[in-house]
Amino acid sequence: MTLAKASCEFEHEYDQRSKRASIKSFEIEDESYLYAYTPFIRLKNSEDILLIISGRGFSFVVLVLMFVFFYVALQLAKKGKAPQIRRITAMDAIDEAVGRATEEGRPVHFTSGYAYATLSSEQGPQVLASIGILSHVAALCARFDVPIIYNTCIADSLPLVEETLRAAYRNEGKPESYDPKSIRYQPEQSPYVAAVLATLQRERPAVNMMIGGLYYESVVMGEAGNMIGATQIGGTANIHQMPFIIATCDYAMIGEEIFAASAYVTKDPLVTSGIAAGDWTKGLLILLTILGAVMELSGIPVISQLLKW
Amino acid sequence: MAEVDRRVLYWGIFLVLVVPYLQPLGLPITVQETTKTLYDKIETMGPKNIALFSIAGGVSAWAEIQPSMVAVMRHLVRREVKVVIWGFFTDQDLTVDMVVVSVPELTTKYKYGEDWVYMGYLAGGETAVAQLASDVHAVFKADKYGTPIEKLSLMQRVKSAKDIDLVLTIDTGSYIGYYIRHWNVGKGTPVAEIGIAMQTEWLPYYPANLMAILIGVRGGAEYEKLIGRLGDGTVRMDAISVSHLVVIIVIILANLGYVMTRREKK
Amino acid sequence: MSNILRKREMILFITGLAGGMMMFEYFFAVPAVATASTIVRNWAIIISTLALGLGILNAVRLHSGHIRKRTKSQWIFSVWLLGYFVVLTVIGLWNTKFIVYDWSFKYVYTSLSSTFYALTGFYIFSAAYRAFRARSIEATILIVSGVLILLRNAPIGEAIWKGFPILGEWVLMVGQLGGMRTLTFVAAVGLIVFGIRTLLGLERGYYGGVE
Repeated sequence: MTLAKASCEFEHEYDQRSKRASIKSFEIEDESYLYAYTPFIRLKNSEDILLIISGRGFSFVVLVLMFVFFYVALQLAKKGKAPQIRRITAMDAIDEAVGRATEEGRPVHFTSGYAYATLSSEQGPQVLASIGILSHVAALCARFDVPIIYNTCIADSLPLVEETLRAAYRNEGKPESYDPKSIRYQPEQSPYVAAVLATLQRERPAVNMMIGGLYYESVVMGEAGNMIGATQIGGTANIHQMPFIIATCDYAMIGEEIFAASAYVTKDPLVTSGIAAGDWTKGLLILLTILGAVMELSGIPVISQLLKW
Repeated sequence: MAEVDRRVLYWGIFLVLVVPYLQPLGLPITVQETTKTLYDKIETMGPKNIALFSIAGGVSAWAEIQPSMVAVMRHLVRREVKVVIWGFFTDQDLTVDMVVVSVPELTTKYKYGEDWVYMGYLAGGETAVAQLASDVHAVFKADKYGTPIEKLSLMQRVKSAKDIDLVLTIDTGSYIGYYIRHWNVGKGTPVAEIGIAMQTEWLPYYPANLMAILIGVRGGAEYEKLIGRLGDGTVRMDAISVSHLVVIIVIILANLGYVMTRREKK
Repeated sequence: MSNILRKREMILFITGLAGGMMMFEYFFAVPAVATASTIVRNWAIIISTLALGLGILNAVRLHSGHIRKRTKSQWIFSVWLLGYFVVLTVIGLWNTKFIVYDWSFKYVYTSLSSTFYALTGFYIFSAAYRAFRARSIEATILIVSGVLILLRNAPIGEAIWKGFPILGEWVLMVGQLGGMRTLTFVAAVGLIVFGIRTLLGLERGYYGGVE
């Protein structure tokens, strides 16, 4: 799709007899224009022409709509008409779990999962959401003087986690209680799993929270937590681990609940309004799905063509 | 029956798993369509084609993915397909060494630099995969052994995703999603996965974006049957059969115990 | 200077700029933005690699603390870890083909990694035994579906009855596919919403709530 006209160059053959030209080939000068498998026309004498890459037009429209929904939800929240969101049981259970840890005098264990040991992946947002939840957990732990242990194998999240914990203790007026050694790093997945198992066996935390980009460690850590009788709160958007989280944890957050959770704990209507915007988007996409299925079965492929735009 | 000590369960499954290794059962294996499509695709490939072997799984997953990796590499070598290898796991050198030892034709029949190359490790996850789709030479300046990319004749043919005829991602997680997004949807390159048993989450993408998927040990056993050279995958399938049966029996027993306990309480 | 960089507005500005650039580059074919995005992505790769150094510092600090305090049941393992770390680092920097280095990775690390991965099987077994109870109709359907897929995967299922693979295949390729797509779909929307919240500065958790 072009938003402006562009000239193009192409080789052509001119047949003297029929006085007709036929295009022989396109000349593509810069292959960085080629993002999709539909051919592009080389731009000549163009100035700041914006071209939406073929196949991504519909996604762009949906993204713009999401921003619009966000704006509407924010405005509603500012006027005091914030959309209501349902309770996330697992997040409500965190307060109770930390209370239990306080009574028993045992630490709280928190981990964000393997997440490919980097923030630069699709697991990255899950880790960031996990760190958002960690800030709430850390605040509670600071308030009730409960030790917190954070195991990780994601090196690039270490500065974020350190700052989160430090800020939590600072905000609770106990900056001296922050212990940098509560953050434990191990490279790679297997050493990380070994370290978490060791932590659970030796230090026997009262609460084990596994929230983030979990992989096979979810079932191992979950069962190990069960063996020591810890209250377990788990959450991940990784579909392949959801059954294990649900089977091993007392409270589970699945799918987008972990992304909503960090907004949920703030209880700030401006922040939680974003969750409603996401729900409105889902509603729209569900409507399109149903409409598309009905139209496709009726032999009208309008929606499916729209998706390829 | 409802509450048996974990240690009894663990010893029980361990002992049960030992039996098929000592006395193979030799149960027949049916080839699934998701495996056959990869075999058919490689059968259409030849010396002019280039396949990418992307290692996105660690040595810990060898038990599941090794049979598939070795079987597929044997097939590629038999068809004389050129192979480019790179990966995203720090222990991938061990995986490449294992494949080279298991498929000696890579060193005896193939010539390094012309028929196959190992480009080495790359950090960066999806960012790296996206970059490679656009420009391989901007990302890799030399191969694993320090040879400049300009001196590798095979890599002169590989500039971006368009130059690869088949992507095989050896995956234990989400890298298949990166290849689908940036290589298949973005550039139209066929993508297949050699994955662990948990990779069934990518089945929704089959066959539109994911042309084939070899799931776990079973995928390896099926591929070994297709190439006519049985190996570790076939051996392990007997253990899989026995363990699955034991799990089913234990679940049934646990539920019987649960029902009986409930009746007693009533 | 560090006070300016630590301010919330600066953090949000950098996040918004980088995120906005990536989004723009994904949708629009503007070579200048594509080039800038490529450079920023390369920076991300470099930062990921550099972060490994941070991790090493954390591990060294933690374990040397254990050794200093003679933490019960821990300090001897910390000695072993740090000692092995130093030895392998020195040897690795000198010659990665040296027998100790090579042997450590091939026969120690590989075996231990595989062992931990194999633990999953045992733990899944005990989790299934403990959790798969037919407490409700939904739980019963879940158990039956799981059993069918187990029998579809294992050749013994077909040996027992030829119908098991067919039923299992149906459950895998039809029955659960809709649910799987839904979860993927929903998680993706939630992820995008989280991303938009981050770009708009509404998500405070990840930078520690710096003011």
